[in-house]
Amino acid sequence: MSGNPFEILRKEHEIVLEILDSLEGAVEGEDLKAVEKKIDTLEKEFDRHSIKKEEKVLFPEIEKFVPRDGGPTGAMFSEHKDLVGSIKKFKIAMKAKDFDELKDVGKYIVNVLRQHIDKENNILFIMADMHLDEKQKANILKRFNEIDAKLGVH
Amino acid sequence: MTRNKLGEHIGCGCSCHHMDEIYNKTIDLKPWHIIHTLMEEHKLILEFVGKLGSTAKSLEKAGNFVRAASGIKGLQHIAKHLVEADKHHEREEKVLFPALQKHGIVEPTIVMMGEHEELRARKNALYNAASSHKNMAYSDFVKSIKINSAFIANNLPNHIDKEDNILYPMALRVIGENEWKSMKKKCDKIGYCCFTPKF
Repeated sequence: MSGNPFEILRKEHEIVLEILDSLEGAVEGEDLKAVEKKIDTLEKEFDRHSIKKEEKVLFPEIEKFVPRDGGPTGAMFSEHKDLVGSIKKFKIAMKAKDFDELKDVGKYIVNVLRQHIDKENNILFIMADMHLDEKQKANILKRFNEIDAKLGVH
Repeated sequence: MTRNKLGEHIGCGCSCHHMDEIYNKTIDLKPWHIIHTLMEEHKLILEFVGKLGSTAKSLEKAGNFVRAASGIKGLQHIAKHLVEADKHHEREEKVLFPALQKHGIVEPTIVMMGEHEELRARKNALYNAASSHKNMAYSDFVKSIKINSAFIANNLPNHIDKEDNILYPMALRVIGENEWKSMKKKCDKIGYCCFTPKF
Protein backbone atom coordinates (compact mmCIF):
# COMPACT_ATOMS: atom_id res chain seq x y z
CA MET A 1 0.00 0.00 0.00
CA SER A 2 1.57 3.33 -1.04
CA GLY A 3 0.74 6.84 0.07
CA ASN A 4 1.26 9.14 2.96
CA PRO A 5 -1.10 9.06 5.96
CA PHE A 6 -1.02 12.85 6.18
CA GLU A 7 -2.19 13.23 2.60
CA ILE A 8 -5.13 10.99 3.47
CA LEU A 9 -5.96 13.01 6.56
CA ARG A 10 -5.70 16.28 4.62
CA LYS A 11 -8.05 14.94 1.94
CA GLU A 12 -10.50 13.94 4.65
CA HIS A 13 -10.20 17.44 6.08
CA GLU A 14 -11.32 18.76 2.69
CA ILE A 15 -14.43 16.60 2.97
CA VAL A 16 -15.11 17.89 6.49
CA LEU A 17 -14.67 21.50 5.34
CA GLU A 18 -17.23 20.92 2.59
CA ILE A 19 -19.66 19.43 5.12
CA LEU A 20 -19.14 22.46 7.35
CA ASP A 21 -19.94 24.83 4.47
CA SER A 22 -23.18 23.02 3.72
CA LEU A 23 -24.09 22.70 7.41
CA GLU A 24 -23.57 26.43 7.81
CA GLY A 25 -25.90 27.10 4.87
CA ALA A 26 -28.55 24.68 6.12
CA VAL A 27 -28.56 26.23 9.60
CA GLU A 28 -28.75 29.76 8.22
CA GLY A 29 -31.63 28.74 5.93
CA GLU A 30 -33.37 26.96 8.86
CA ASP A 31 -33.68 23.86 6.68
CA LEU A 32 -34.16 21.24 9.39
CA LYS A 33 -34.08 18.22 7.07
CA ALA A 34 -30.77 19.33 5.54
CA VAL A 35 -29.40 20.23 8.98
CA GLU A 36 -30.18 16.73 10.23
CA LYS A 37 -28.51 15.12 7.23
CA LYS A 38 -25.39 17.29 7.44
CA ILE A 39 -24.84 16.89 11.17
CA ASP A 40 -25.17 13.11 10.85
CA THR A 41 -22.61 13.10 8.04
CA LEU A 42 -20.31 15.32 10.09
CA GLU A 43 -20.65 13.12 13.16
CA LYS A 44 -19.81 9.97 11.20
CA GLU A 45 -16.87 11.62 9.46
CA PHE A 46 -15.62 13.03 12.75
CA ASP A 47 -15.77 9.61 14.35
CA ARG A 48 -13.96 7.92 11.46
CA HIS A 49 -11.31 10.58 11.00
CA SER A 50 -10.73 12.28 14.36
CA ILE A 51 -11.51 9.50 16.79
CA LYS A 52 -10.67 6.27 15.02
CA LYS A 53 -7.74 7.46 12.89
CA GLU A 54 -6.19 10.39 14.75
CA GLU A 55 -6.84 9.53 18.39
CA LYS A 56 -6.43 5.78 18.14
CA VAL A 57 -3.69 5.52 15.52
CA LEU A 58 -1.80 8.73 14.76
CA PHE A 59 -1.62 10.48 18.13
CA PRO A 60 -0.09 7.51 20.01
CA GLU A 61 2.73 7.53 17.44
CA ILE A 62 3.27 11.30 17.86
CA GLU A 63 3.27 10.79 21.63
CA LYS A 64 6.33 8.59 21.26
CA PHE A 65 8.35 11.79 20.68
CA VAL A 66 6.24 14.48 22.37
CA PRO A 67 4.08 13.65 25.38
CA ARG A 68 0.33 14.23 25.42
CA ASP A 69 0.36 16.22 28.65
CA GLY A 70 1.16 19.82 27.72
CA GLY A 71 1.84 18.74 24.14
CA PRO A 72 0.03 19.13 20.82
CA THR A 73 -1.93 15.88 20.98
CA GLY A 74 -3.25 16.87 24.41
CA ALA A 75 -4.61 20.08 22.88
CA MET A 76 -6.11 18.16 19.94
CA PHE A 77 -7.78 15.65 22.30
CA SER A 78 -9.36 18.53 24.23
CA GLU A 79 -10.71 20.06 21.06
CA HIS A 80 -12.09 16.71 19.89
CA LYS A 81 -13.83 16.25 23.23
CA ASP A 82 -15.25 19.75 23.05
CA LEU A 83 -16.52 19.14 19.51
CA VAL A 84 -18.14 15.82 20.44
CA GLY A 85 -19.97 17.64 23.24
CA SER A 86 -20.98 20.48 20.93
CA ILE A 87 -22.34 18.05 18.32
CA LYS A 88 -24.47 16.41 21.04
CA LYS A 89 -25.72 19.84 22.13
CA PHE A 90 -26.48 20.68 18.50
CA LYS A 91 -28.54 17.51 18.09
CA ILE A 92 -30.56 18.28 21.21
CA ALA A 93 -31.35 21.75 19.82
CA MET A 94 -32.23 20.14 16.50
CA LYS A 95 -34.76 17.82 18.13
CA ALA A 96 -36.25 20.77 20.01
CA LYS A 97 -36.29 22.82 16.77
CA ASP A 98 -34.58 25.59 18.68
CA PHE A 99 -33.09 27.60 15.81
CA ASP A 100 -31.47 30.22 18.01
CA GLU A 101 -29.53 27.52 19.82
CA LEU A 102 -28.84 25.70 16.55
CA LYS A 103 -27.32 28.87 15.08
CA ASP A 104 -25.20 29.53 18.17
CA VAL A 105 -23.89 25.99 18.57
CA GLY A 106 -23.62 25.51 14.80
CA LYS A 107 -21.48 28.62 14.46
CA TYR A 108 -19.29 27.41 17.31
CA ILE A 109 -18.79 23.97 15.76
CA VAL A 110 -17.99 25.43 12.34
CA ASN A 111 -15.49 27.96 13.71
CA VAL A 112 -13.74 25.59 16.09
CA LEU A 113 -13.50 22.80 13.55
CA ARG A 114 -12.18 25.05 10.77
CA GLN A 115 -9.47 26.35 13.08
CA HIS A 116 -8.74 22.87 14.35
CA ILE A 117 -8.21 21.64 10.80
CA ASP A 118 -5.97 24.61 10.04
CA LYS A 119 -3.81 23.75 13.06
CA GLU A 120 -3.51 20.11 12.11
CA ASN A 121 -2.86 20.73 8.42
CA ASN A 122 -0.37 23.54 8.80
CA ILE A 123 1.53 22.66 11.93
CA LEU A 124 0.84 19.30 13.51
CA PHE A 125 0.89 17.11 10.42
CA ILE A 126 4.00 18.80 9.05
CA MET A 127 5.87 18.19 12.27
CA ALA A 128 4.59 14.67 12.66
CA ASP A 129 5.48 13.88 9.03
CA MET A 130 9.04 15.00 9.76
CA HIS A 131 9.44 13.02 12.97
CA LEU A 132 7.77 9.71 12.16
CA ASP A 133 9.89 7.18 10.31
CA GLU A 134 8.80 5.31 7.21
CA LYS A 135 7.96 2.17 9.17
CA GLN A 136 5.66 4.09 11.48
CA LYS A 137 3.98 5.82 8.53
CA ALA A 138 3.46 2.51 6.74
CA ASN A 139 1.90 1.05 9.86
CA ILE A 140 -0.40 4.07 10.28
CA LEU A 141 -1.44 3.78 6.66
CA LYS A 142 -2.19 0.08 7.08
CA ARG A 143 -4.35 0.75 10.11
CA PHE A 144 -6.18 3.58 8.32
CA ASN A 145 -7.04 1.16 5.54
CA GLU A 146 -8.28 -1.39 8.05
CA ILE A 147 -10.54 1.22 9.65
CA ASP A 148 -11.97 2.23 6.28
CA ALA A 149 -12.46 -1.39 5.26
CA LYS A 150 -14.30 -2.13 8.49
CA LEU A 151 -16.55 0.88 7.93
CA GLY A 152 -17.06 0.02 4.29
CA VAL A 153 -15.43 3.27 3.11
CA HIS A 154 -13.40 3.10 -0.09
CA MET B 1 -0.95 25.74 39.33
CA THR B 2 1.22 28.85 39.37
CA ARG B 3 -0.36 32.24 39.68
CA ASN B 4 1.35 35.35 38.43
CA LYS B 5 0.44 38.94 39.05
CA LEU B 6 1.24 41.21 36.16
CA GLY B 7 4.09 43.58 36.68
CA GLU B 8 4.31 47.13 35.53
CA HIS B 9 4.68 48.03 31.90
CA ILE B 10 8.24 48.61 30.94
CA GLY B 11 7.93 51.27 28.31
CA CYS B 12 4.54 52.73 27.56
CA GLY B 13 3.70 54.05 31.02
CA CYS B 14 0.02 53.21 30.75
CA SER B 15 -1.72 51.51 33.63
CA CYS B 16 -4.26 49.46 31.72
CA HIS B 17 -3.23 46.07 33.08
CA HIS B 18 -2.21 47.00 36.59
CA MET B 19 -5.59 46.11 38.02
CA ASP B 20 -5.71 42.82 36.25
CA GLU B 21 -4.52 39.50 37.48
CA ILE B 22 -3.75 36.83 34.98
CA TYR B 23 -3.81 33.22 35.95
CA ASN B 24 -1.32 30.95 34.28
CA LYS B 25 -1.99 27.61 32.69
CA THR B 26 -0.01 24.84 34.36
CA ILE B 27 3.31 25.06 32.62
CA ASP B 28 6.57 23.76 33.91
CA LEU B 29 8.69 26.65 32.78
CA LYS B 30 10.88 28.98 34.72
CA PRO B 31 9.91 32.65 34.39
CA TRP B 32 13.17 33.51 32.59
CA HIS B 33 12.37 31.04 29.84
CA ILE B 34 11.60 32.71 26.53
CA ILE B 35 8.60 30.44 25.92
CA HIS B 36 7.19 31.48 29.30
CA THR B 37 7.54 35.15 28.28
CA LEU B 38 6.02 34.56 24.85
CA MET B 39 3.04 32.73 26.36
CA GLU B 40 2.46 35.43 28.96
CA GLU B 41 2.56 38.05 26.20
CA HIS B 42 0.03 36.00 24.25
CA LYS B 43 -2.45 36.27 27.12
CA LEU B 44 -2.21 40.04 27.08
CA ILE B 45 -2.37 40.27 23.30
CA LEU B 46 -5.59 38.22 23.48
CA GLU B 47 -7.00 40.72 25.94
CA PHE B 48 -6.40 43.54 23.48
CA VAL B 49 -7.94 41.51 20.67
CA GLY B 50 -10.93 40.81 22.90
CA LYS B 51 -11.57 44.54 23.23
CA LEU B 52 -11.35 45.19 19.50
CA GLY B 53 -14.80 43.92 18.51
CA SER B 54 -16.77 46.02 20.96
CA THR B 55 -14.63 49.07 20.19
CA ALA B 56 -15.25 48.72 16.45
CA LYS B 57 -18.99 48.36 17.10
CA SER B 58 -19.10 51.44 19.32
CA LEU B 59 -17.30 53.47 16.64
CA GLU B 60 -19.79 52.39 14.01
CA LYS B 61 -22.66 53.31 16.31
CA ALA B 62 -21.19 56.73 17.13
CA GLY B 63 -21.68 57.95 13.56
CA ASN B 64 -19.20 60.83 13.62
CA PHE B 65 -15.79 61.81 14.98
CA VAL B 66 -17.17 64.02 17.76
CA ARG B 67 -19.34 61.31 19.28
CA ALA B 68 -16.62 58.72 18.65
CA ALA B 69 -13.92 60.62 20.58
CA SER B 70 -13.64 58.24 23.56
CA GLY B 71 -13.99 55.19 21.31
CA ILE B 72 -11.13 56.45 19.15
CA LYS B 73 -8.99 56.92 22.23
CA GLY B 74 -9.70 53.31 23.19
CA LEU B 75 -8.92 52.16 19.68
CA GLN B 76 -5.62 54.04 19.66
CA HIS B 77 -4.68 52.35 22.92
CA ILE B 78 -5.47 48.87 21.55
CA ALA B 79 -3.80 49.51 18.18
CA LYS B 80 -0.67 50.88 19.84
CA HIS B 81 -0.31 47.72 21.93
CA LEU B 82 -0.99 45.41 19.00
CA VAL B 83 1.73 47.13 16.97
CA GLU B 84 3.97 47.00 20.02
CA ALA B 85 3.64 43.19 19.83
CA ASP B 86 6.07 43.36 16.89
CA LYS B 87 8.88 42.90 19.42
CA HIS B 88 7.24 39.61 20.32
CA HIS B 89 7.18 38.51 16.67
CA GLU B 90 10.74 39.69 16.19
CA ARG B 91 11.96 37.46 19.02
CA GLU B 92 10.14 34.54 17.44
CA GLU B 93 11.36 35.26 13.92
CA LYS B 94 14.98 36.06 14.79
CA VAL B 95 15.59 33.68 17.69
CA LEU B 96 13.00 30.94 18.12
CA PHE B 97 12.25 30.08 14.49
CA PRO B 98 15.92 29.85 13.39
CA ALA B 99 16.54 27.52 16.35
CA LEU B 100 13.61 25.36 15.31
CA GLN B 101 14.86 25.36 11.72
CA LYS B 102 18.24 24.11 12.92
CA HIS B 103 16.37 21.16 14.41
CA GLY B 104 14.61 20.46 11.12
CA ILE B 105 11.32 22.20 11.89
CA VAL B 106 11.19 24.47 8.88
CA GLU B 107 7.76 24.53 7.24
CA PRO B 108 5.76 25.35 10.37
CA THR B 109 7.97 28.37 11.00
CA ILE B 110 7.39 29.53 7.42
CA VAL B 111 3.63 29.20 7.97
CA MET B 112 3.91 31.21 11.19
CA MET B 113 6.00 33.93 9.51
CA GLY B 114 3.43 34.18 6.73
CA GLU B 115 0.74 34.70 9.34
CA HIS B 116 2.87 37.31 11.11
CA GLU B 117 3.18 39.22 7.83
CA GLU B 118 -0.56 39.23 7.21
CA LEU B 119 -1.32 40.22 10.79
CA ARG B 120 1.37 42.89 10.80
CA ALA B 121 -0.20 44.56 7.75
CA ARG B 122 -3.64 44.56 9.41
CA LYS B 123 -2.33 45.84 12.72
CA ASN B 124 -0.46 48.66 10.97
CA ALA B 125 -3.56 49.54 8.95
CA LEU B 126 -5.57 49.66 12.17
CA TYR B 127 -2.93 51.81 13.87
CA ASN B 128 -2.71 54.19 10.90
CA ALA B 129 -6.48 54.61 10.74
CA ALA B 130 -6.65 55.17 14.50
CA SER B 131 -3.89 57.77 14.51
CA SER B 132 -4.62 59.67 11.30
CA HIS B 133 -8.42 59.44 11.32
CA LYS B 134 -8.78 63.21 10.91
CA ASN B 135 -7.68 62.90 7.30
CA MET B 136 -10.43 60.40 6.53
CA ALA B 137 -14.17 60.53 5.94
CA TYR B 138 -15.94 58.95 8.92
CA SER B 139 -17.47 56.19 6.80
CA ASP B 140 -14.03 55.26 5.37
CA PHE B 141 -12.57 55.30 8.86
CA VAL B 142 -15.25 52.94 10.21
CA LYS B 143 -14.92 50.67 7.17
CA SER B 144 -11.17 50.37 7.65
CA ILE B 145 -11.55 49.69 11.38
CA LYS B 146 -14.24 47.05 10.80
CA ILE B 147 -12.33 45.16 8.12
CA ASN B 148 -9.00 45.14 9.94
CA SER B 149 -10.50 44.43 13.38
CA ALA B 150 -12.47 41.49 12.01
CA PHE B 151 -9.37 40.05 10.35
CA ILE B 152 -7.31 40.40 13.52
CA ALA B 153 -10.08 39.02 15.78
CA ASN B 154 -10.60 36.04 13.48
CA ASN B 155 -6.97 35.17 12.87
CA LEU B 156 -4.77 36.28 15.75
CA PRO B 157 -6.33 34.00 18.44
CA ASN B 158 -5.98 31.02 16.11
CA HIS B 159 -2.36 31.91 15.39
CA ILE B 160 -1.63 32.14 19.12
CA ASP B 161 -3.41 28.85 19.72
CA LYS B 162 -1.19 27.14 17.13
CA GLU B 163 1.95 28.51 18.73
CA ASP B 164 0.92 27.83 22.35
CA ASN B 165 -0.40 24.34 21.80
CA ILE B 166 1.69 22.92 19.00
CA LEU B 167 4.76 24.93 18.05
CA TYR B 168 6.03 25.81 21.53
CA PRO B 169 5.57 22.28 22.97
CA MET B 170 7.53 20.98 19.98
CA ALA B 171 10.21 23.62 20.53
CA LEU B 172 10.49 22.58 24.16
CA ARG B 173 10.95 19.03 23.01
CA VAL B 174 13.68 19.59 20.42
CA ILE B 175 15.69 22.55 21.76
CA GLY B 176 18.19 21.80 24.53
CA GLU B 177 18.60 23.60 27.87
CA ASN B 178 21.88 25.34 26.95
CA GLU B 179 20.45 26.53 23.68
CA TRP B 180 17.54 28.16 25.50
CA LYS B 181 19.98 30.09 27.67
CA SER B 182 21.84 31.55 24.70
CA MET B 183 18.51 32.26 22.96
CA LYS B 184 17.42 34.24 26.02
CA LYS B 185 20.43 36.53 25.60
CA LYS B 186 19.50 37.15 21.97
CA CYS B 187 15.92 37.92 23.02
CA ASP B 188 17.16 40.38 25.63
CA LYS B 189 19.09 42.20 22.90
CA ILE B 190 15.97 42.51 20.74
CA GLY B 191 13.92 43.74 23.67
CA TYR B 192 10.39 43.33 24.97
CA CYS B 193 6.95 44.82 24.51
CA CYS B 194 5.76 47.65 26.75
CA PHE B 195 3.21 45.19 28.18
CA THR B 196 5.58 42.27 28.76
CA PRO B 197 5.11 41.19 32.39
CA LYS B 198 8.15 41.32 34.66
CA PHE B 199 8.81 38.16 36.60
